[in-house]
Amino acid sequence: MVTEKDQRIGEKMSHHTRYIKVRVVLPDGKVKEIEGPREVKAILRRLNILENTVLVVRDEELLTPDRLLEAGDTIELIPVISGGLN
Amino acid sequence: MKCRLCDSIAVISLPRHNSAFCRNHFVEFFQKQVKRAIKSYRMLNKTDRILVCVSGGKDSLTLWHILNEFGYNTTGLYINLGIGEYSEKSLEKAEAFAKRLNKELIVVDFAEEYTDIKALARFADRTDCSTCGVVKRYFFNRVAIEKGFDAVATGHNLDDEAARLLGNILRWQVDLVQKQSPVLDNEEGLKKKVKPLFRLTEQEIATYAFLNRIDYLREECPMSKGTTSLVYKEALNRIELESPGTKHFFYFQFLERKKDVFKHLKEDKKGVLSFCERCGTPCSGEYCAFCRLTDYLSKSAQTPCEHA
Ligand code: SF4
Ligand SMILES: [Zn+2]
Ligand SMILES: [Zn+2]
Repeated sequence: MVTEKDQRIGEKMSHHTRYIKVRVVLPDGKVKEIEGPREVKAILRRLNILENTVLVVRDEELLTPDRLLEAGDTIELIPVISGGLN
Repeated sequence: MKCRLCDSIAVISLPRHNSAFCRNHFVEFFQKQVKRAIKSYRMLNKTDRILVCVSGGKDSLTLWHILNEFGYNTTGLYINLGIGEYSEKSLEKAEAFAKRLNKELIVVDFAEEYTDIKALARFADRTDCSTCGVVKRYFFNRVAIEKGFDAVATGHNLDDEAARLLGNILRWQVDLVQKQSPVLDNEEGLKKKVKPLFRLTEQEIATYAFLNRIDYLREECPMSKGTTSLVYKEALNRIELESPGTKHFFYFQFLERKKDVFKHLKEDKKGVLSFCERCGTPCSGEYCAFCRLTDYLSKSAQTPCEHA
């Protein structure tokens, strides 16, 4: 049985664990919840997105690939590649 | 990651320059790159009247923004290509941005005057993008000449130029390779064309646009899906991640060496130039590419469709 106290301790501990849950707004606008690593770079790799093809934004702030996320964060991936021939 | 120049948190990491910058130092870096591009290729003079080709996307609006910041005399040019909702939205973005800069935007309604790009491409039996390219290049030049501008500026970036070079080399289109340049000088009937963003990647441009709250259309032209240029860009970005600086090296070394490598070709090219019998644009045949294209329209209007 998980007591309230255990839960609180659990939450605190998750702050320090490698795996957390975050919301990601993908380049096509779709939203995905992923449970994964905390490093932006690792999340992009997990999504199979090249880090030089998007901007990563959290609360109006641009994040470099080495930044770490917190549980519950939402990041938006803004595509930077335009198509066309001209 | 910290800014290389101060202690603030970096907004972008630039492995190809072995750098990372905070907001202010990145904007400074960006401005320097554009100034260097303009200066090293003698693209623009402070007194020039510059026609900036705007599509409503990040590159062209960023170009307009920075040229305006530098104090250049700019006017925007938007061409309505009739690509459905995409064209409507992109015109809105271009108009709103012109208002923000308090600058004039010239709008050419190609779709209204002729037809939409997709229909024209079908008549001419060409790809959408190559048809679109002919139309855009034609109007950039024509408007610049008719209205007395000194230069036409487009938002082409390092990724565009490197991807194009890769594509041309993969098919060994030597004539196209040797023509590739950040600046095309004035010739009779052809206005000078410049690409002041050629030293910057798409990610750098998107970062500048983000930091300056440039409200551009993120949505891509629906016809760009699956084009080879996207495949080449992706390939280059993949290589770039493994080996930072490759994209830069690939394109910049080309610029450096092409004078020697293609010297003999340049001589051959001159002299074969003639002028379009209908509109006067320099071309290699009787009619220029644009007049040949739009000729399909008049023909299709005269002869009833066989398949009807
Ligand atoms: S993607 Fe092709 S059709 Fe669409 S605007 Fe660009 S060049 Fe034109
Ligand atoms: Zn700094
Ligand atoms: Zn012509």
